[in-house]
Amino acid sequence: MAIIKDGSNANLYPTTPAGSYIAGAAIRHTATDAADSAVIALRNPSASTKTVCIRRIYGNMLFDGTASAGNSLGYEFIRFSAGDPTTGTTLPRIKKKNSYAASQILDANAQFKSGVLTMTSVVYESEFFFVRAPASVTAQVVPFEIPFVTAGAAYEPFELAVGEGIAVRLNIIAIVGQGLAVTFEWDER
Amino acid sequence: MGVITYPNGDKALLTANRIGQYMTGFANRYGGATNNGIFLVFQNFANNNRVVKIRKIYGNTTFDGVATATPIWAGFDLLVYGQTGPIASTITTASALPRMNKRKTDPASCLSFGANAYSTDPGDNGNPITVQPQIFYSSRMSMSLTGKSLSYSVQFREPDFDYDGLHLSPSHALVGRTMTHGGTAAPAGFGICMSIEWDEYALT
Repeated sequence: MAIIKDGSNANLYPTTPAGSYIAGAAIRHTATDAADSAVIALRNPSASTKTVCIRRIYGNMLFDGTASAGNSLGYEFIRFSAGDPTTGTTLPRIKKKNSYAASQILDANAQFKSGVLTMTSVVYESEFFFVRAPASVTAQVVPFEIPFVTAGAAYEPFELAVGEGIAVRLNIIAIVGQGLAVTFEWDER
Repeated sequence: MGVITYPNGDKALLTANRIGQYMTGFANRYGGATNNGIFLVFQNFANNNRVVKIRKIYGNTTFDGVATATPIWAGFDLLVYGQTGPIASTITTASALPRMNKRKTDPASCLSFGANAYSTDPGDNGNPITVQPQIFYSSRMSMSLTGKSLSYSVQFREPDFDYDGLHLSPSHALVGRTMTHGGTAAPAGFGICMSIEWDEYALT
């Protein structure tokens, strides 16, 4: 099949990915972790040979702590480069089909981690998604979804080039009992 | 690639003309959102040679303030300006929004030249735009209970077809404004999180 390109010289109908993957993480804060702290991060390593194309990200914000009048809780999603997340807990990356190659994000130089992470030397871009939950009552569940790829679309994932990653950071200082459950789905091309 | 013209004279915005794909996001918490408080002006540059096609707008609204004894609803409208005339003026008191390349190798968004921005408190901006509004989406939530959140999502489901997506020709704008019912202002603590995804195409 001929390769058809759009005006930005991207393949209009991208080649079949090497594999398609899914991974999830959950965190419940037990301290007042600072705003802008990264809590979940995924990086396409510098040793990778693939581009990571994120299809969608979704989950819930949770709060079971002591209510705080006039306050909200929040997370922000942001792309980064130039460094790896360290500390935290390494998370599994699930192949959607067993015969796929292992995810490049399994590379020892990269991380998919959860916890309050150390992001030494990381260069952040600008935030592109925020989700907030009010803290004025407890027992909160706030669902969210970033639906990058819609049905019928050939080219619209959020891309992580080699060396780039995506992080979830606290948008506002945490309150004990705040939490996040999040799932990422991506292709590697 | 040649230009394809529909029977009605419209030129097709083929994916071959696509320059790149972009997104932005922001989060605000208001001290007292008012009727017609402009919090977003997302404008295609007046002399631009690109068409902007919005794919999705999504996020959530929250309320963490003191619940009102009398029923008050707060929320926002999304409007298109420019399809029936030029934009009279643009927002003045605001912060610039980031414009993220979904893919770093694409050219930068043309919107970096436009007067597109959002304010931290829409009440500060009065009503800077006077041309006929065309509302296409509204979201509202009650202020009679605190600790509430409401998700919303506007998705143009078949974005690679020409007759889907929300087109912004040069000088046209997507505008967001806060609205209330049952009172002149919402109590402090109403907030909006919003992300916008869009494509930019070369004019044919």
